[in-house]
Amino acid sequence: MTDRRDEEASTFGSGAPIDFDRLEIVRERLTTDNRFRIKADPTFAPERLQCEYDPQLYPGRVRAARLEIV
Amino acid sequence: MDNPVLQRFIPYKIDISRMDDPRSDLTASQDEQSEAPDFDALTPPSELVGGDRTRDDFLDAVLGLDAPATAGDVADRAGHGVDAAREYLEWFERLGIVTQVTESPATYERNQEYLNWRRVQTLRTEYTTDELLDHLQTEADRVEKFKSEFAATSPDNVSIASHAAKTDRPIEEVWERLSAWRTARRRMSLLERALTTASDDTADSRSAV
Repeated sequence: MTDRRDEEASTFGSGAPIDFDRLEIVRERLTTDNRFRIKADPTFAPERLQCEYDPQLYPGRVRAARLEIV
Repeated sequence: MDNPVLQRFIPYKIDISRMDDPRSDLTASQDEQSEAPDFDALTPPSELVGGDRTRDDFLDAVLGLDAPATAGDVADRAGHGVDAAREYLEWFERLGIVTQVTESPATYERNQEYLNWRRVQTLRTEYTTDELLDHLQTEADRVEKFKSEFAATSPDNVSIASHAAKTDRPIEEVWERLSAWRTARRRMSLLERALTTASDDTADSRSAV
């Protein structure tokens, strides 16, 4: 049986997996805010958070404003 | 960045304190400026990323650790005092959320097994077995594509520099693809655990009838 802990430790610095545990913490916090809505893909273990700002916060010529957290 | 609470969410000490002004064609016109939203009514970023309770701040701080950290490090990330950090770290260790790495100075790291267990529980409660199987199929398909792309059975068998040179691709791009491969493998592992646990529960409930 593979020791997952060792497997994960060995990946550091060589293309480590996305830290979706950390992204989850950020999502939990930012979800409470109404300045943007958050999309996470896939939802169960996201590799990035897309925070779409409320367009009413921007001038009409701005079509979309997005903060991406990866 | 001056605010340690905000810095908790910014890995690698990235400086986000300076931002360029928008292009002139994207700035608000006079009319729009007169009808500007009430920006002061928005929740300040430091409050947004802070928890309602001290406990939340410390939990966020330790779950975001990617290397062993002292009580002082955790206190900085949580935005609270060192004494409180020591107390919470001892409590989190008893709960299995962190593990102590060294004695003097005492350093702690997040317990990845705890996070994995928590995510498996979430998968089981928020998704049906069919949905979990669908996700597993998607991730399995991705892994197969990576195997084909790199002509290897595991990302551990791939040298980033060699592969980049051989395929004439930037090292960063190869690094990102390997990262995506490892991410897919980790998702598969979690989904399989969730499905296995669900199957065990079903078997238990059947045998109990």
